[in-house]
Amino acid sequence: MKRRILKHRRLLFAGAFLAGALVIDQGLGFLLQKALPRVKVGQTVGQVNVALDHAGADVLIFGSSRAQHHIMPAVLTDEFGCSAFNAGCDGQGILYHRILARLAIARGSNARLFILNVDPSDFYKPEFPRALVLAPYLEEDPLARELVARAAEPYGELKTHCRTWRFNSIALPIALRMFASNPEPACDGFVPFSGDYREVEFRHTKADFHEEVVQQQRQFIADARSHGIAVALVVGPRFRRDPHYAKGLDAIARLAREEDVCVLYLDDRRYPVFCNKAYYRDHAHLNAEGAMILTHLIASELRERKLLP
Amino acid sequence: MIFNSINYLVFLPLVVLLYYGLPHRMRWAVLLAASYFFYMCWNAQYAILLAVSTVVPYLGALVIARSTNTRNRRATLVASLGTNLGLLVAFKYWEFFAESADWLGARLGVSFSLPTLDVLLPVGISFYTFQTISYTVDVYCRRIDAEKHLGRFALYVSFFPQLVAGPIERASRLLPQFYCQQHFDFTRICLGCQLILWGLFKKVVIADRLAIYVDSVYNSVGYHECVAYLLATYAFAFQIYCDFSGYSDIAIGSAALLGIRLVANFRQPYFATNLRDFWRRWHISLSTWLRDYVYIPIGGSRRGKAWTVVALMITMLLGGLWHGASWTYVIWGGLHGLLLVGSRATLDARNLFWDRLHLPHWLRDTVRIALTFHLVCLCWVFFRAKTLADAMTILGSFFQRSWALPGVNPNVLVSGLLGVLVLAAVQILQLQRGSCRRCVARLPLPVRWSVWYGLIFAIVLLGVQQGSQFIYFQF
Repeated sequence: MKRRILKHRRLLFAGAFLAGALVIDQGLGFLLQKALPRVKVGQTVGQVNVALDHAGADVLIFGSSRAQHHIMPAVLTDEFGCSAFNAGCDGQGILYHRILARLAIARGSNARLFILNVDPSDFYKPEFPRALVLAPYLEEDPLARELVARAAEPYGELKTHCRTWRFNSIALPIALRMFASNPEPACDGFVPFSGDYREVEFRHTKADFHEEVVQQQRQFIADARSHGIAVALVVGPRFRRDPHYAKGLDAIARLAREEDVCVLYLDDRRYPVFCNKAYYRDHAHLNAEGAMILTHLIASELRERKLLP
Repeated sequence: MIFNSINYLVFLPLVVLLYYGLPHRMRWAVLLAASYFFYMCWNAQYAILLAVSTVVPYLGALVIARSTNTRNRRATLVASLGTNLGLLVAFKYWEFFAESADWLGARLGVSFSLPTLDVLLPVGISFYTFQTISYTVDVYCRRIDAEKHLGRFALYVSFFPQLVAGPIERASRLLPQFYCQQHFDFTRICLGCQLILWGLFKKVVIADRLAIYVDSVYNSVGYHECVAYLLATYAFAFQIYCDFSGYSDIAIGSAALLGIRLVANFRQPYFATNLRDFWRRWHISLSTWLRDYVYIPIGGSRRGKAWTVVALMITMLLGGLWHGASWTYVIWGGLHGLLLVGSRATLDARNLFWDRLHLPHWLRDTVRIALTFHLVCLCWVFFRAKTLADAMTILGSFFQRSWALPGVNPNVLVSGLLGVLVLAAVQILQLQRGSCRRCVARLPLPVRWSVWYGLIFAIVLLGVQQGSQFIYFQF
């Protein structure tokens, strides 16, 4: 009898511990969710929050570091008199940008144009897991939830039910940045690179072509179009190309053909000005001067193709 | 399947339930099946290799035990050890030897090229090979009886919690435990879970977080400056400790859930006051193995001072080579050997020096701990560097007068630092009170539970999700 009581007590003990964990998960998740919108600085959630705050801009720019440091919204504003915001993010791939675009649409974006920077190397390093930085926002859009679950595989669906998990690797930046001052009111998302060309390690690694990237790009275009938003793809210049460049470029051309989407090829092959090292910060990124030239070229091509009046 | 995966968190409770749900006579079979399944998750074909590494020493030990003829016994011992070491050399070291021979040939002007096998390194081969070697030698020396039950012996070789990265168990310790009937013990289950939790914290919150910075520096040697290399080396010292001791804790915790006690592998190694002390605290199961099966059999300190130096160097060079088929590991082992020799030779003089300084004990120990830690860090440069040239570049940078601060992701820095601080606090508590877990157990229930909840949510919130494998899996 005594043993049964003891066994019973231990089961209760274990059950209470698990129940406590669930309560803490929900409570902590709730608190972090509440604190989330207050973070406006920093490379992770701060950047996402500021981008979503500008969801109402006429032109939204998406893409990796090669969008964030290359395309100047101020130039587009001067040229077309429309509002523009650069939502590009270092190290992020198409899954992140598709989710972010959906979140912007869910927040009532009435943009006229989405500019998506695509790079031939994107197909070889999809960076899907990095899209998990958007996990705290998954309640805002059902498809965003599905995409976050995909980025979190294995057991992605299960993980999305844990509220604290959504803040994995983000909780500290939230805590650290919560009390930091807000960014400049004129912030347009563009981050210029300054300084001379710097040699950084450039390794050719064997990598597989990820057809999934093409599918996600296709869906990005479809999502935008279903809300009446035009899409333009931009292929920017590089000082050095990796061996997959030609095949990646073919994939972009195929996508453009099949989806009937406009691609602005602004690489060094078409514009020899980009063969000049002086406009680069490293082999893959332009400096501020290079970014200025590139954005003016984007503006003239957009006007030529009547994507913006 | 790695310990820090959800697959393992599903696999382990299933095995535990099945284990306690079945009668004692069938439990070894459950554990054996689970262990082979666990191993086959990496590469199913290599289960054959594991089976060969089991059957050969099993039969060899039976022959050795039954034979009274010394020559037969010795021949069987050589055959058994030769087979297992042969497999180890073929799968792990052949390419290294072939490349080194080619290099030497080219230097001597002799042109020959040894064929390469181009095979994947079987996970944990160094660990289970050492376990079978110790078993065969123990039977030969009549320290233990040969195991007659093939199933239980196979389980000794392949027991999943310690199969891929140790601790390297002795047959005399582990085999009898498979015969004991284990009852479901709630306290032991709690202890196992707590150890697993602590191990996971060390792995995903500290080691994997620090690895982000360490990899960024050590994978692009030549593009950084002194401070970056220094920071990365210190970070690596904590990364490798938390990675391996985290693995060991999860292994010991997993085994505890099944009622099996595994040997402790670490005892606050960075609190060692000298190199000898360090090796008594670091990877204890390997260092005691090397002591018992290499150092002592080749003479140890019994043949005079000169031979002690030779024996120490042989042991440490082999220890280095055991870690990996690369000259960087050999040099790492050699450096430790040299430092151990130096430590031994100067021990009396150093003790006298410290006594004459009349420093308080705590200050003396702190200085000695700091010195030992830095010597160990210096050796880690060779361990972590991809090539000898990289290691030399890093060491060379330590003498440059460039103190430019590197750009470090604050998220990595803060998470890593927080983790290291928690680790330091726990270890100081362990040093002062013996066991941190026992201290926690004495606390009131809400505080106690807060500690465990703190660990759980630190893992969920701060852990690296797409973390790497454990470093020692590659050995």
